[in-house]
Amino acid sequence: MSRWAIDGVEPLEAVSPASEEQLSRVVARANEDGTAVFPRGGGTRIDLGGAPSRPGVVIDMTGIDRVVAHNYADLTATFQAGVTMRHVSETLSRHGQFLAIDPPLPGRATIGGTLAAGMSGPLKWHFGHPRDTVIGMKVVQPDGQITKSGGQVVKNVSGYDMSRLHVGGLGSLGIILEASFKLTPVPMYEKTLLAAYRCVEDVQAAALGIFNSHVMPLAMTVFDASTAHRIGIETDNGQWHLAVRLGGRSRTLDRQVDDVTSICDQADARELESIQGRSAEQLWKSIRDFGWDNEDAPLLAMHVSALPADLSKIVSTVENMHTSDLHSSIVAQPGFGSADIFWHAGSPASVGAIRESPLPSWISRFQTTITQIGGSAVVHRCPPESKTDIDVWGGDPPGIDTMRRLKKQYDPNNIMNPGRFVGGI
Amino acid sequence: MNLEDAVQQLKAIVGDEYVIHRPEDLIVFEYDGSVDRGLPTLVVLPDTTEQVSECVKIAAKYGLPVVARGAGTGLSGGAVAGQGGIVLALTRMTRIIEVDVENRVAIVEPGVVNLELTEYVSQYGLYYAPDPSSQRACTIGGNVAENSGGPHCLAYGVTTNHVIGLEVVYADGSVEWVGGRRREYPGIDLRGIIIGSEGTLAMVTKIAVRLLRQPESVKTLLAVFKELDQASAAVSGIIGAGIVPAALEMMDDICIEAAEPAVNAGYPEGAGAVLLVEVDGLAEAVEEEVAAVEEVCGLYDPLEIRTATDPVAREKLWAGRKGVLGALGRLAPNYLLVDGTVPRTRLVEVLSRIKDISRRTGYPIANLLHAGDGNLHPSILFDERKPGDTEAILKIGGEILELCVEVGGVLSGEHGIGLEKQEYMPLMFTDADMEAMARLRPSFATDSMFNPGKIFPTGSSSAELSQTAAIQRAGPGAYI
Repeated sequence: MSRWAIDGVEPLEAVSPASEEQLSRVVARANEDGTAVFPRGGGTRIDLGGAPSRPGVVIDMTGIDRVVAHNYADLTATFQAGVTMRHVSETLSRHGQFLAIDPPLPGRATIGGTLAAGMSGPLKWHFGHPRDTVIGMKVVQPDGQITKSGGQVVKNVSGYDMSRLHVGGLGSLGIILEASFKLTPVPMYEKTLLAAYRCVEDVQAAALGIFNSHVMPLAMTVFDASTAHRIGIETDNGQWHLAVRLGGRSRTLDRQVDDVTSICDQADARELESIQGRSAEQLWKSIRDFGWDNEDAPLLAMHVSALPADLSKIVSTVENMHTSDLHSSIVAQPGFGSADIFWHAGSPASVGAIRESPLPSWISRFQTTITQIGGSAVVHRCPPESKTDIDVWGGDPPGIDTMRRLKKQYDPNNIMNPGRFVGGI
Repeated sequence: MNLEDAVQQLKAIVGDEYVIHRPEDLIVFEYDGSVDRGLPTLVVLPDTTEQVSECVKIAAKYGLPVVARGAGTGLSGGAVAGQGGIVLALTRMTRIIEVDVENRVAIVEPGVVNLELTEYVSQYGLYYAPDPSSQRACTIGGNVAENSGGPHCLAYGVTTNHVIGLEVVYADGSVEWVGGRRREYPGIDLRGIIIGSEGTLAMVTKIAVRLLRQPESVKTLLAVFKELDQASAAVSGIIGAGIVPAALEMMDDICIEAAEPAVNAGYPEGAGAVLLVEVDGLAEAVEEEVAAVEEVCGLYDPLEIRTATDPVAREKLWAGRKGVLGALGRLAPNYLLVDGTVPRTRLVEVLSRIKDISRRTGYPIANLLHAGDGNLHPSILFDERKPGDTEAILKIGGEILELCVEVGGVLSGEHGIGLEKQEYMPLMFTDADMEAMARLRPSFATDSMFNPGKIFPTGSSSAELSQTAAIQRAGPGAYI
């Protein structure tokens, strides 16, 4: 299978345009021929979505990778879609700034792919969904025309905010060509606190205590013993960890550390350590990339969205559906209301067992259970052969009729990523 | 069409007293915060989602446009029925349906006044962040339509960053939630498309908002400079130093001249510009940030710097800024308020070019700005009664907008396009850009039913309408 295959579907062709004009022509031609088009960034999330409903042209966006502008004095920047997240960080850090979008594998993940997939990492706890940092966008429409919306200023209500169609839209309505962002200054000092807890109830109490305090961490992540073990943190079985990333000027940081320490202690932390510098960076990198690195890749990954205080409900859903062939690991953002859950094969022998067992129905049951607690569960990775029997998006979301009409309006020939997005769009 | 039939059916839905159809009563609903005029055919005040849905169905049946209206404080004619039809006034729908303290989410009806929500949730130590200057009067529903900002959106973001779900009524009367109580939902972000769509895509009947914890400490700093350039340079200096205060506001000498006698702000002799900076958060963060702001301001020879932490003293520092628009009435009977945003680094240049325009044309232009996010509100002073004045100042307004776009800025920072700026859209957008935007309407199956004739340029016939739309009446009750 070639590196361009998606869910086992080989492309008719893979093209790597080097300019906007070339890209526009490729898309326009595909539209005239009714050929499907599959935009691709670094491929880190190419598993997201349903299997393509027909083969088509894979458009490799990594050649369109110019840093258009870093207006550092304005705290804004514009990047072409193919710029990698690492290149984004390196560019911005020269002037002490960063973009508050931190998906896994930044060396490969592109800014365009990251936005299309609606991905972020631990930083979304503080900075919200990636769409909240976008201030302007250029898009290649399915007919090849290039259109823009928004601008390069931080406050703007001129015309409809068209970027909303494309962030998290999985390339279903067009290809993100260029995006402008508001940026954040790097905090003067940073510290990370890592606390260990006996049970999920304790760790949830600590996390919600921080959520409801005056402290505003940059990131706050909870993970289970299995995750800790896999990212190299020594831990006892059943133990949970809470990592809190804090930043600010010196006295502000001290105060935050004091407050978080006392909240963690009140919730009965068994251990509490303060980390900074390279070891803190390493910890956050491990948390961010966990489950996405090809070494130790899980068989199944799901992203659960729920209410801020719902962590223990999610965890008990995972525990209730435990099977001996699948080992779960949980990385969650209580306070934001999301969790990534990864299932590794229990043993080499169980890989075969799982593939033969009714995995699709198990996935569907998990999705239903999450829906019953008011959440949603989207499959981010699973064996391609399972995709025919499940809806990776967990069913049609509210608004699906409008989404279908949008698809019809903007992509009447249904060439953009056909079959991959919600409701088979 | 038999209008009498429509009136009877609408009365059956909402009750006799909530359908307004006598011409003398309709006049009240003819304009909003701008002086755009447009007489609605009918005004209907529904009380529930079901009633809104039924009213929309009646409107569709009789081919009447539907214009949603909150408190009518909007500044771009968004709530004006430019083509007649039904104005759906949502001011009876004022229930705070639920406050989920644990998850910090509230669900409210569109007619809830912005400040009332914050006051209501203050019992839990929470608040709703977007704070348009009209927050004592404007409704959350109107904020959603215009994606409203406010002085404190610099640090906390605008409406779309805080509204996480909407219950909407589509043009066929169907009801649906887009988004909800959670921060993430699979699928296209319809919520984000509807927010800021100026009532053109759907009627909003319930709103789920995120609430923030009230800051532990707030400190306001007022810095007075001799020259406008020094104040603008201080703004760039603050942002450039990596400080993002909660609010960063600025006024020029004309504003000072108007505000001083009106509110006794006590600005020093020779004051040419005032900068107002507010920082909130942890007590330590506030002290450290304000010290850093003070240091930056100090580089630009301030005449005076004052700070305050207690609410009464802070309110005093804000008094000049908050009272300025009303006070402009002392200088001239009318003003044209322009709303554009430019990159923050271009403020010095843009303000100096606006001064040039003022000198060249002879019309005084007062500058007040949400400087931190580059959002300008140049206000051109004039007298509507003088022949030729109105035409002249409209031309100047257009020139300022062109200037904003020329330096990489935009047509509207926070007031919306509405009727006021639709003719300027081609300055920023190509035909292809606008066509892509316009296709949202058929996607929501509301080609011309919801708030028709807004946002996009309509050619010569609308030119006259958009001109009257642009004139603001000076005096109390005006907000930015």
